[in-house]
Amino acid sequence: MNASFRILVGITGVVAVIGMGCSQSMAAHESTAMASPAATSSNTRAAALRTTLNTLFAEHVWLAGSATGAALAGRDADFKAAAAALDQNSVAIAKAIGSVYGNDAEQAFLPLWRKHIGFAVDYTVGVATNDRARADKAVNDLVGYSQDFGAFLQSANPNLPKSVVADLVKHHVVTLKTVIDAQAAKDPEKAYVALRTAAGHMQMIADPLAEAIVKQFPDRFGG
Amino acid sequence: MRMQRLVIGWAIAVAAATTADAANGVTVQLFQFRPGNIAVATDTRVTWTNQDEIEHTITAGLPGRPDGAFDFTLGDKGATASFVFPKPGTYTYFCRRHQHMRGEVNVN
Repeated sequence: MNASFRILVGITGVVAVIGMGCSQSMAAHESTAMASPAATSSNTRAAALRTTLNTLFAEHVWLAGSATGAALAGRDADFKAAAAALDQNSVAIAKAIGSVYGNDAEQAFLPLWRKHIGFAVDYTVGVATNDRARADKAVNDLVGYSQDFGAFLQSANPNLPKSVVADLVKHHVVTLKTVIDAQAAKDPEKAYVALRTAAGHMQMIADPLAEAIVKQFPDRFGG
Repeated sequence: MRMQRLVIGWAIAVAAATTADAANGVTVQLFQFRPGNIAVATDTRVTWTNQDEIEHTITAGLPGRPDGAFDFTLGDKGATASFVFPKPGTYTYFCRRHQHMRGEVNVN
C-alpha cells in the first residue's frame, strides 16, 4: 500500500469518525431513535472502501481533464505535472484493487488502466491536430477497452457483469470526450460543466464496484 | 477382488493423468498467465485455458517481435489451446490484445 493510498484511507477514516460523531450527536436529540450505533455508523470498512474508490475515480477525471486542458492550450509544464499526478492516481487505483485482490491483480490492472489513458491522449492529439482518423481510432480503442475493463472486473468479481461494467466505462469515455471537445473548442464554461458531469458519473462505477466487493468478501468488509 | 484391483488401478491412472495435465496447464485469468513461468520436459503438450470473459491470444515471441512458432486465439471463457514443445529451450509468449500479458515455457 503506497503512501497516497494510506493517506486516502486515513482521511476516509477521519471523515467516517467525524460522521459517526455527528450522527451520535443528532441521535442524542432524538429520544425516540432506536437504531443501534453499529447499524447507523459510517465508520465501517465497507464505507471506507466506497469512499476511497469514489475519491480515486473522481480524482482520475479531474486530473485527466487538467491534463487534456493543459495539452490543448499548449501549457507544457502544466500538462507534464497533470500527467504525472494522473499516473500517481492510476497507481493508487491499482493499489486499491491490489488491496482486495492481491499483488498479481494489481500488476495486471495497472497496465490495463494506463492503456485507456493512452487512448484518451491519442484522442486529444487527434482533436488538437485535426486528425479525424486518429481521433476516431482512439474512440474505437476506448470502446474496445471498455470490454477489457468489464472482463477484468467480472473475472475478479462475479457480482460485476461484464456488459454492465463495459456500458458504464463507455459512458465514462463519452463524458470525458465531451470535456475534451469543449476544451478544444475553447469553451471553458461548457468544459467545466462537462467536467463536473464526468467526475460525478464516476460514482456510477465506484459505488457498484464497492458494493460488489463487499458482497464478495462479507467477512472482510461487513459490519 | 480382481475387479476391485482393476478399478483401483484405473483410478490411479486417471489421477496420474489429471495431475500431469494440471502440471502442464496454464490458466489465463484476470489478464494474467498462471503460472507465468512453467518448466516441462521435451515433447510435452502444454495447454492454456481461458478463464476470462474476453479473447486472449497465446503468441510466441515478444510484443512487436512474434517469432511465429505458435499463435493461438482463445475466443472466450473456457476456450483452450495446446502446443507440443519438441526442443529444449526457453519459449516466451504474450497476448497480442493485451501486450502486458507475458509468459514463459522452459523446456528441458
